[in-house]
Amino acid sequence: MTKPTKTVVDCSTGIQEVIELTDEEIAQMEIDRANAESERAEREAEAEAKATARASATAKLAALGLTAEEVSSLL
Amino acid sequence: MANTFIAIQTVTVGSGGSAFMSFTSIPATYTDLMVKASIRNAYPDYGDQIRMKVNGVSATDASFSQKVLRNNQGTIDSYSQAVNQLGYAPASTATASVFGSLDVYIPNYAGSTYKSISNDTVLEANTSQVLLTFSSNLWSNTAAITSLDIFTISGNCVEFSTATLYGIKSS
Repeated sequence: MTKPTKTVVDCSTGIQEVIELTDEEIAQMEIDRANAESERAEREAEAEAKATARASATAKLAALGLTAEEVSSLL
Repeated sequence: MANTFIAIQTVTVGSGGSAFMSFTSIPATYTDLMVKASIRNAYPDYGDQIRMKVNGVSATDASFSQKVLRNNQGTIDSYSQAVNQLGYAPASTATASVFGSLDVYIPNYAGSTYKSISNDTVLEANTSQVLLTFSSNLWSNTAAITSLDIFTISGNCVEFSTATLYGIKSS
C-alpha cells in the first residue's frame, strides 16, 4: 500500500518535493484522528446536555408564569 | 506596523494528493509570518479538521494552549484545548471543487519568547454547510520557528490545495 506523503518546499532553495511520511508520522496521524473523533463526540454530548437543560429551564420558568420574552432575557 | 509583505514560498499539492503541506528552512529575517492557504480534503465527509505542526512538534503537544470560537452552520461554541487546530477544510461530500480558506498569523516568530499563533478559517461549501473558526494559541516554546506542517487529520489534501508563506517586516 502506498504511504501518505508530504509536499515540502525548502524556503532556502525554493525546491518543492514530495516525501513519504515516516512510520512515526503515520502513527501520530492515526492517534490525532482517533483523538479528534472522541473530542468531537464529547463536545456534541456537552452541547446536547446544555440544550436539554436550557429547554427544561425554559419550561419551568414558563410554568411559573414568565413570558417568552422574560425567559429569554434570563437565559 | 508591518509595511513589507513578501511571499517567501508556495506549496501546491500535485495529483494524488498529499497529507501535509510543509515549509522548511524558514529564514529568520522577517518580523512576523503569515500563511494564506486554500485547502480541500479527500475524507468522505463534508469537512475535516486542519492542524499545524511547528518545528516538527506534534499539533497535540501539551505546549499548545488554544482558545477556539466556532460557528458550525449557525451553532456557535467556544472551547479550549492543547491542540494547534486551524479550523476545517471542505471534504469530499462538500460541493465539488470548493476549497476552504485559511489565514494564520505568527508575530515575532524568530524571537526567544513564547509564540502566539492566531488564525481564521472558513469552510464554505456553497451550501448551508458553513464552518467558521477563529482561534488564538500560545505555544509555550522559545525556539525560533523554522518549519511549519499544515495537514488535515483524516485524509489527504487534494490536488491544487495550496499554501503561501509570507514574511512581514516592520521596516
